[in-house]
Amino acid sequence: MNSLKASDIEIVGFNGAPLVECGRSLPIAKRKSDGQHCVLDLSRGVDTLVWHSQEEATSFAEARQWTELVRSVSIPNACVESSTGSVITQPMMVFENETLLDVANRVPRPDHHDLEYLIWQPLKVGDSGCFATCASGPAVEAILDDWAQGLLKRFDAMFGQNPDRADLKRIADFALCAARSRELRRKAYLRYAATQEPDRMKRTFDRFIHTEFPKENWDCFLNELKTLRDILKVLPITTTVTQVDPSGCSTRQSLRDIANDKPLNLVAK
Amino acid sequence: MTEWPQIFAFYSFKGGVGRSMAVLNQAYGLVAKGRNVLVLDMDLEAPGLSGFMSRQKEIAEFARHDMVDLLLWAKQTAQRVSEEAPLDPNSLPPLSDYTVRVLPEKLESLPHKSWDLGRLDVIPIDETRDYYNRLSEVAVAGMDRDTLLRVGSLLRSWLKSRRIPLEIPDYYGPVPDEDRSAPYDYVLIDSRTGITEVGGLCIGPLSDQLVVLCGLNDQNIEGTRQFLTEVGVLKPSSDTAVPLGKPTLFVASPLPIGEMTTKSERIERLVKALGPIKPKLYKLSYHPQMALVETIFVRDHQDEHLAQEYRSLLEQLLQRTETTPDFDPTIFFSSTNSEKTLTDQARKSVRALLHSASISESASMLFFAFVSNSDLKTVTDDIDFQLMDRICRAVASSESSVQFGALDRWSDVLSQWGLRTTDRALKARRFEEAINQLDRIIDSPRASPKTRAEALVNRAVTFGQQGNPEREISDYTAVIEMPDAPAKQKAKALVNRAFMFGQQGNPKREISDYTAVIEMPDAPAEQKAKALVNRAFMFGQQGNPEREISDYTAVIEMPDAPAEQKATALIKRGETFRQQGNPERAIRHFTSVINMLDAPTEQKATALIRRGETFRQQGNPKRAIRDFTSVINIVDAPTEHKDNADSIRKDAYEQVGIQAEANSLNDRGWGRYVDGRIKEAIADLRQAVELDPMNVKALGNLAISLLVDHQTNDALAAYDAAIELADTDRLADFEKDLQRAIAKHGALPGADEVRTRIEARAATLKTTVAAQ
Repeated sequence: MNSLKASDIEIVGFNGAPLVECGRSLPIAKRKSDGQHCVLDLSRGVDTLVWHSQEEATSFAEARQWTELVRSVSIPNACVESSTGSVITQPMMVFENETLLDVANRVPRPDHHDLEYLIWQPLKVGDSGCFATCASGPAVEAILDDWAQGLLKRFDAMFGQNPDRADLKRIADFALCAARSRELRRKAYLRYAATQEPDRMKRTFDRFIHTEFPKENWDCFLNELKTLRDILKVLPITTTVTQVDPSGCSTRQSLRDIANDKPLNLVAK
Repeated sequence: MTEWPQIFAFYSFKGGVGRSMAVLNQAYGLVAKGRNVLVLDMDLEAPGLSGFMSRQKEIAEFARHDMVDLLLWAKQTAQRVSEEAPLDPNSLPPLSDYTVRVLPEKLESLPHKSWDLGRLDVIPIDETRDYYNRLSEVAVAGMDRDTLLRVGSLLRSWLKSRRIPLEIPDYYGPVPDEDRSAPYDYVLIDSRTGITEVGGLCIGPLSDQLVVLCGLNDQNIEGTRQFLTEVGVLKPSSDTAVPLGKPTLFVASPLPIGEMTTKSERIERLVKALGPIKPKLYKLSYHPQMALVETIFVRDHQDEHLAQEYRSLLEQLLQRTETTPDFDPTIFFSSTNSEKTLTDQARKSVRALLHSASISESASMLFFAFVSNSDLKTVTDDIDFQLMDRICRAVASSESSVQFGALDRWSDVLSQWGLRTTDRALKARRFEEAINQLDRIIDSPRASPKTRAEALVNRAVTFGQQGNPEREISDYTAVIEMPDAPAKQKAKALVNRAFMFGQQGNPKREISDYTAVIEMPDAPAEQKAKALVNRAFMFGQQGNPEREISDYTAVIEMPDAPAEQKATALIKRGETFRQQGNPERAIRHFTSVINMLDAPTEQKATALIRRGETFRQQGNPKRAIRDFTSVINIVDAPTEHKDNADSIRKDAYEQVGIQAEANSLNDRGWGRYVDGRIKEAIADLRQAVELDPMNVKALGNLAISLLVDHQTNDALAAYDAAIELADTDRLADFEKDLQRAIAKHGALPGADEVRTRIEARAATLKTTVAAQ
C-alpha cells in the first residue's frame, strides 16, 4: 500500500462550505510535488483517494463545494508517524466564526489542544470573521465540545432573566452546531426544546431528538424539561428594586453630583 | 494603575460644536497609534455619529442589536440585581451582538509608523429598525437617580469585562491567554447635549474621564458651567467654581478664524467660568469643510491645521491615561548579563514598554540593538523569540535607516525559532515568515545591490533550512549572476552553491564553483580559504592526493586565511600525510594546530585526537593517552569529541597493558638468546611480536635470533618489519647485534642481505630528514 508523506502535503481548505457558525469537515490536501488536490479521507486507505487538478480544485471552490484557506497549513504532528513521516491518522478541519466564540465566552480561539499546536487561518471567501484549523480528530471533537460547554453555560445563565426567546434559541442552535459528545448534544437538545413555543415542543422532539436518541421517551423528556426550567428559573438573582416611576423625580434631582458617584459592583467577579 | 478600557465621555451643552467629529477623530487617531477602540453613540435622539458611519460606509451594516437595545438590557437587568446579589458574568450579553467593526480598508490610510493599526468598533444606533418604539421603551428621560446609577454601573461593568481577540501572528505557537485577548484600550462615548438624563448617565459612573467641548458664546459657556456644576464636575463657590474629582479635558470648539480680540476675550471668559484653578484649555478650530461635509481629518486631511489640533488633543488624552513604565536600559547590557540572554526583569520591562503608548523610536532602537547583539543560538524560550519578533516588527515597519537590517535580523530570529520547534506546521510557518521578510528586502526598489545580494544569500540559506534545495540553489545563482553584487556575496554564494552541488552528487560542478572563488581576484580571504579547503577535500575523494595537499598548502600559506580554515587545512594535510605513511609529518601538522593561539576549540580537539591516534599507530599509546585526556579536559570541547576521545583512550589503556606483557616476553627472550638458548628465545620473541606487532625492539631481537638459528627467510621477513619501524639509532643497534652474533657464531647466511637492507633504510631516513 502506498503511503502519504506529510512533507509532500499541505492542507489548503476543507470539504463543503461553512453554512453554520462552527463545525468540522474533511481537509482538502494539496500534493506539493505535482499540485494535485484531494479530499483527504483516509477511512478507506490512501489508494482510494481521488486526486484533482488545480483547475478542478478552483472550480470546486468557486462552486462552494470546497472552502479554501487564505494560507495553507501543515498536517498536524499528531497525525504523522514520526519515524517514517507518513500520515497515519485522519486529520480533520474545524471552523468557527468570531460571534460563536464571543457568545460561548471562548475569546480568544484556542492555540493548542494538549500538545497539538493549532494554526488558524481565515477563509478565502465569505465571512471575514471565520477561521479554520487542521488538527487530529480527537482534538477537533474536544475543541467543539469545549465551545458547546461555554454556550450551554451562557444559555443557563441567561435563561432565568427572561431574555428574548430568539436570543436563547440562537444560543441553543450554536450549542447544537458545536456539541459532539452524546451527553452534550442531549443537553443542547433539551435547552433547544426549552426555547420552543409549547405547541412546537412535541414536534421538535419527534423530528430531531427522537431521531438522534431513539430510546428517548416523550414523557420523560417533558418531565426533564420541566425540571430544567424550574432549576434555571431559580438560579437568577431577584432583588427588591422598585420599578422606575418617572413622575416621582426631576432631571435635576437625578443628575445632582452624579459625576462623583462611585460605580456599583453589579456583576460578580 | 490604569484600569482598561479607559472610558471617556465627550459632552457638550449645545450641539454644533463638533463633538461627534471630535469623538471620531480621536477614535481614528487612537487606532493609528495601535490602540483598540470602541465608540458608543449615546446621542440617542439625534444619532449623528451613527448616521455618518453608515452613510460614509465606514461600517458595512448594523449588528443584531444596537445602543438602544443595550440600554434596554441594562435598564431591565439593573432592576433585578444588587451589589449583594450581583449578576452572573456568563449572562452578560455578547459583545458581537452589539458592535460593528469599522471596515479595515477605512483604516488603512491612517498614518502609522512603528506599530500595527488598532481595531475600531462602534455600537451605533440603527434608526431603520423600529427606532422610535424602542427609544420610548428605554425612556432614559424618566430614570431616577438610582436607576441612572445602576444602569451606568452595569454598562460600565459590561464594557470593562469584554475582551476582544488580539491579532497574534499564527507562527507564535502557544501564547498566554492574557496576550491573546484584551479589553478595549479606550471606549469613547458621544453623549447627548443639554441637561438630560442621558448626559448624566454618560458623565456619571459609566465614564472614567470627561472631554467637555464648549462653544465660545455666552449660551454655551453659561450652560456648560451650569451643567458641570449640577453634575459635580465643577463645585459652586462664592464667586465661581472649583474643579472636582473626575479628570476632565476642556476643549474650546469651534474657534473661528480671525476675530482675534473677541476670540481672546471669549476664551478668557470661558476659562474664568471654569474656576480659579484655570484648567488648560484645548482648542479645535473652525474648518469650513466641517460645515459642508463631516470628515475624519486625521485620516483624510492629515496636513490640515485641524488635524494637527486633533492630534494634540489625542496626545493629551494618551498622556493622561498611559504612563511609561520605569525602564532601565542597562539591564540589557550590564556586565552581569554577559550571556546576552533576557533576564526576567528585562523581559518584564520590554513587554510593558511594547504595550505602552509612550514607547519612543529611540526605545525601539535600543531594543533592536539588543536583538542584534544577541546570540540567537542561545535563545530557547518562546517568550524571548516573541519579544524579539515584536521588536523587529516595530523597527522594520518604521522606515528608518535600519529597516533593512531589522528585516534581515527578523528573518534570522524567525529561522532560529523555526529550528527550535519539532512541530511541522509551526516550523513551516516560521520559515515562511522568515522568507517573507527577506522578500521585502529583495523586492524593495530602495535596496542597494549589496543589501539585495545579502538578502538573497540569506533567503537561500533559509530555503535550505526549509528543505528546499532547488530554490536554495536558484537564489545563490541569482547572486552569482547579479552584475553589481559585491565580491563578498558572490564568493559566499559560489561556496554555498558548490556545497549544494556536492550534496546533490555533482562533484564536477562543485569543484568548478570552488575554483571560481579561488580564481576571483577580489574574493575575501575567508571564502577563498573555505573554497580551497573544500576543493582539497574533493580532490582527496577523487584519489588525487597531490592536488589535495597542494590546496591545503595554499591555505596554510595564505597570510590572511582565517584561523579556522588554516587549522582545518593543517589537520587535513596531516591526515593525508598519515595515510601516505608519514606519521612524523602528520604529528607535526597536528601539533601546529594544537599550538595555534587562535585556532577554534573544536579544531584543537580534533588535532589532539588525530595526533593521539597517530601516536597509537606508532606504538606509543602512553602519548596517545595524554592527548585523549587533554581533549576530555577541555571545558568547551564539543561533546562528540569528548565522547570519542574517551572511547579511544580505553583502547590505548589496553594497548599499554599488552605492550607491558610484550616487553616482558622480549626481555626474557633476549636473556635466553644471550644464554644461547636460541629456540626458547625465538618462542618468547614470537609471542612478544604477536602481542605487539609495532614493538620494534622485539622484532629486531626475533630477527637476529632466527638468523642465528639459520631460519634465514623468516629472519629476513622479521628484519623487514623491524627496519620499517626503526629510526636511525635503532638501525645502528641492529648492526651492532649482527656484528656480535657473527663474532660469536661465525658467518651467518643472509647477514650480508640484512646489512644491505639496514643501510638502504638508513639512507632513506637521512634523505627524508634533509628534505624536511
